[in-house]
Amino acid sequence: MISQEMFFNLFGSQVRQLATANSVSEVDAQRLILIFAEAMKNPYMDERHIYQRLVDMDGAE
Amino acid sequence: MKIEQLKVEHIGCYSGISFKFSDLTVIYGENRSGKSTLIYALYYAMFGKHLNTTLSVPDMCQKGEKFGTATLHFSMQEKICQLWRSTLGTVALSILSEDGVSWNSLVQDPSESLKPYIPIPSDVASLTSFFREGELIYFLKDIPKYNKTLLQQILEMDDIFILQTRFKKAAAISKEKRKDLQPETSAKIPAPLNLAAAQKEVDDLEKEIAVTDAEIKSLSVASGGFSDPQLLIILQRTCDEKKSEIESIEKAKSELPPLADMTRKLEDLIRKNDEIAKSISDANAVYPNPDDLQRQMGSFDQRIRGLKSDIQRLSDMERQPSCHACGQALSPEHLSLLIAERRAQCAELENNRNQLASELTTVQSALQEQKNCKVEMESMQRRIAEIQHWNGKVENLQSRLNQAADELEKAKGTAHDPEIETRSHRIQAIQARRTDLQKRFVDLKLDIQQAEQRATDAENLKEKIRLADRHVLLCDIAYQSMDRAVAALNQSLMDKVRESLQQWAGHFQYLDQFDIEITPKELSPIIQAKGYTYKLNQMSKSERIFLYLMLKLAIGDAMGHLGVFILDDPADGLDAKRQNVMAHLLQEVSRKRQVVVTTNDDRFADMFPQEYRLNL
Repeated sequence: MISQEMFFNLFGSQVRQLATANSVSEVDAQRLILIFAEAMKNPYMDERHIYQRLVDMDGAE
Repeated sequence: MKIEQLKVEHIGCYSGISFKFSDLTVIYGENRSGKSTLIYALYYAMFGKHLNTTLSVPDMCQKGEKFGTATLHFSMQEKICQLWRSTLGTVALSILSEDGVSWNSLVQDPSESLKPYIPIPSDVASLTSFFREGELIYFLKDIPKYNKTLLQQILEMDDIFILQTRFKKAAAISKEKRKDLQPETSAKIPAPLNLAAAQKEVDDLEKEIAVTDAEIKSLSVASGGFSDPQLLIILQRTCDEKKSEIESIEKAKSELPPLADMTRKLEDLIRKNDEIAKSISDANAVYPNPDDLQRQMGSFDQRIRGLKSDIQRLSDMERQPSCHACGQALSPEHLSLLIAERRAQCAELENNRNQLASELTTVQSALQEQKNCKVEMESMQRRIAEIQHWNGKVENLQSRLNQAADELEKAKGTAHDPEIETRSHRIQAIQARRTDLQKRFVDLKLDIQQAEQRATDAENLKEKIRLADRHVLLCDIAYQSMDRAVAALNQSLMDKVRESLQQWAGHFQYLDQFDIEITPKELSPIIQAKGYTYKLNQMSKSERIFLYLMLKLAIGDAMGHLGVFILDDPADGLDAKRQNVMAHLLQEVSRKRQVVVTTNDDRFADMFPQEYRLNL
């Protein structure tokens, strides 16, 4: 199995790069990373849940 | 790191035992002798987890014991470390002091990081430093499929791909939601200039209506009495209605008999009723109740039947003139006398009965006649009441008609005043104008309301679109990050693996027989031999064993490893020739990396120098 930690770090660095390029705040980038971590841990989190969690980010502001 | 020693207590089949390790350690034991337990204990000592993910740590503890412990001695950067763990979750890391006798405690809290001493995560170690039982067999059986690369298959990246697909679909959902908002956009933008103009027109209209109202009021209250031409129409209509109503009532009345006739007939009926009542009263004086007459007639009938029965009996006795009771002889004359007497009585009774019957009939017919008379009287009274009702209504209507006619005459009189007429026409014209203004005013107000609503809707839609765009952006960033992370993982691993493979290729003497090429984007090993090119699925078993070992070691170099390569029964399922290849390769590996290998195959164990062998 691939290292989750390694992949998580790779994902995090990619999110930060893209967030900066698209003027998305660091807070939002951090939230994206947390949702990704949640999706990695929870195998039942499907695309609808992921979408909902991403959309709910605005509600959490 | 280099593993020096492992002590296990109350773990699996081990109550208390110590194992020493060299650069190459071959652990031989029969089935159920504890080979896999030893590997699990090593992994547990390092990471506090079970190597077999389907089992838990408490499963490792020996039955009947509360806990088990594993103590690992290892060297790292010329230091000797001791890592102790119990299955209860406690951990302790110590380092041997320079005097070589005492231990300095470094970590005692399980939450503290051991990263400086155990440098890679457990999942990476499980892949790069441990060779699990059956791993090779699966590799030999399967070749990569479902668009996976060989590297991805070895790394077991299925979970990552599933996650990648989910993020991609989540991004697609966000785009769909954004697309759904698009058709509404163009239709719902109001025209602000029209709205302002309409508002101005409404204000103007409001003023104009106020002016017309004032004008109407001033004309209406002007002296000269009657001023409203509408009233004429209303009065005329009222008169017509009343007339029409009176006509319809008169028509209904004409179908009824004249009231005088009806009244006369009623008087006759009343008189007749009185006469009947009197006759009934007279009859009642003698026979107060017709039922008494009935009863009396019944009594007469009974007595007549008794007399007739006597007569019959006496007539019978004439044929045998003797007494039935005493048998005394009776004379025929006497019997004839008795019969004659009875017949006379019977005739008298019948006469009286008939008289009574006649009286009864008379009373009954009188009663019936009175009843009919009463019914007729009631009917007559109803009709008279009806006629009287109509008459009252006609009188009322006539009165109202007269009143309306008077008012109409009066109105007609004043309407002919030329000044009033002119004023009336002017009022009518202003009122018509006012009605038009009012209608235009209402229409404009409605338009303004709708326009304002559309403006609000457009603002809401704009906000929704802004949010949807943001969601698309966030979902896209998440998906693209995922994609890039997978690509970066592939690329970085690929480069490192390729580099490492070249180093290991130079290390293995066995490689002289092979020539492996790897394409830039994919680990697609091919073998050049005797002028032919062989792909993975064309390789021999020995070649694939060699390849797999090489890949495991190279991936370890790419992702990080413990410096030790621990193999649990790698010879399982291999024939003697392949076991020999495996043993040869592992000995070559042990020159660069510490190797621990277990086997239950005596022949395979014998393929290694005896000094490395450790029997369980």
